[in-house]
Amino acid sequence: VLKSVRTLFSIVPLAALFAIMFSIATGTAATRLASAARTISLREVGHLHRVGRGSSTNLHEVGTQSGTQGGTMDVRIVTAYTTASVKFTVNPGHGTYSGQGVVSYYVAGNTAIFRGNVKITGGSGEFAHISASTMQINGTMQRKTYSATLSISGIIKI
Amino acid sequence: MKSAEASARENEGVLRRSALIILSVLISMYVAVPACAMPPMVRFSARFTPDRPGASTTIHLGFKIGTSANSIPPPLTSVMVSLPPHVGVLQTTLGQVVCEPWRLEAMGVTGCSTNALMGRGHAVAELAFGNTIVRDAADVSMFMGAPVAEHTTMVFLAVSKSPVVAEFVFHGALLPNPQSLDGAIFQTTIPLISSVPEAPNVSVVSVESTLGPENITYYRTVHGKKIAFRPEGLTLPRKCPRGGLEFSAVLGFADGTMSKVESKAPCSG
Repeated sequence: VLKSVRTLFSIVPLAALFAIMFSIATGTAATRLASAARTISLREVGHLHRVGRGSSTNLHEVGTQSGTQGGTMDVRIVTAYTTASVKFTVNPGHGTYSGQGVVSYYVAGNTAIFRGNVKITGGSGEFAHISASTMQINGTMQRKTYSATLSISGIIKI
Repeated sequence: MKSAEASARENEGVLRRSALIILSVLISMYVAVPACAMPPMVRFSARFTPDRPGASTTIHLGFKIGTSANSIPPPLTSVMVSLPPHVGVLQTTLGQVVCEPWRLEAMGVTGCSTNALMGRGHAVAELAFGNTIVRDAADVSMFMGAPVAEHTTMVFLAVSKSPVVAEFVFHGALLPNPQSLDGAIFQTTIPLISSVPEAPNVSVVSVESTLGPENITYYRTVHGKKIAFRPEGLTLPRKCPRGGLEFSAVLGFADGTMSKVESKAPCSG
C-alpha cells in the first residue's frame, strides 16, 4: 500500500508539470495567432466606370482604387428614388473582401450622391478572417456618363 | 457581426426619423382640426404617358378639390404623394442643373436654365370678393433644386396672369417612404397666398402637374452649336402589376383638415 501511495505521489507532480507545460505551449500559440491579427484603418477611393448595359435601376461599376491599399473595386448598385442597395468587392491584390448595405441616394443636378453605412460580409486570401466595425460609403456619380467615385472607409481587422 | 447590427440600426434610424417627421406632420394636422371641420372632397388621378412597360415616361398627377356645400374650400397647404415602387430613376436625365429659388423669385421662369426643368403644370384657385367668387389660373413649373439634408428637392414657380398678377415660389422634397424602401414620398409645402388686404387667402381648387420630359426641351452645346434634345424620364418597370401602379396622396388644408386619396395609373400599353 505504501509503495502504491509513493507511486501516486510521484505521478501527480509529473502530470501537473505536463499540464502546465501544455497550457504554456498552447497559450503561446494563441498569443502568436492573436498578434498576427492586424487592425487597419482603411480609406479606399474607387474611380469607376459602368460595365454592361445595366437597367433603369441596376448598375455595375468597376475600376481601380487609390488609398490605403490600392487595387481594384467592383460595385453593384440597385437604386430606388431615395435609397440605393450597394454591394462591393475590393481586391487589393492579396485577397478580396466584400460588403453591402442600403445607403441614401439623392440628386443634385447632374450628380447623384450615395452616402451611408455598409457591413463587411466576407473575404478571401489575406482577408479570409476579416471583421469590421461599420464601414462608410461616400460616392458621387455623373448621371450622364455613369462614371463614379466611391470611397469606402472604416477600420478592419484581418 | 456587430458592424452589421450597427449598420442596420443606423439605417433603421434614418427611416424611423423620416417616419417620425411624416407622423408629426400628420399629428399636427390632426390636432389642429376643429371638431366640426370636414375635409374637402378631393378627386385624384395619376397616369403615365407613355404607359408602356419599360418606357421612359412622364407622370401626370391631377387633383380637384371641392366642398359638399359648393363653397370655396380652405386653402391647400401641403401635398404628400406616395410614389409607386419599382420605377427606374437611374436613366432619367431630368434636372441636369440645379435651380436656385432666389433666381426664380428675382427673374421669374427665365431665372433658371431650361435644363433644370422637370415638369409643368397648371393650377386654378378661387378667391372671394364679397359675394363674388373669382377664379384665377396659374402656370406651374417644376425645377431641380439643391439637395437639403441629403434629400433630392424641387423648386416650383407658379405664375398667374389674370385676374391676379402674381408669382410665388414653393418647395418640394423626395423623402424616403418608411413603409416601402423602394417607394418614396414627394412632399410639397404650399404657402398661404393672400389676395387683397382683408380678403381671405386664395384657395386652390385644381392642380395638374407632370414629372417627366413631355413638352420639355433641353439644350446642349456641341462644337459651339446649340442642339435641342428631349431628356429621359423615369422608367416604368418591365412588368407592371395588374391594374397599374398605385399612387396615394394626403392633402393638408389651412383649417387643419386633410384628405387622403388614391389612384392607380395604368401601365399596360
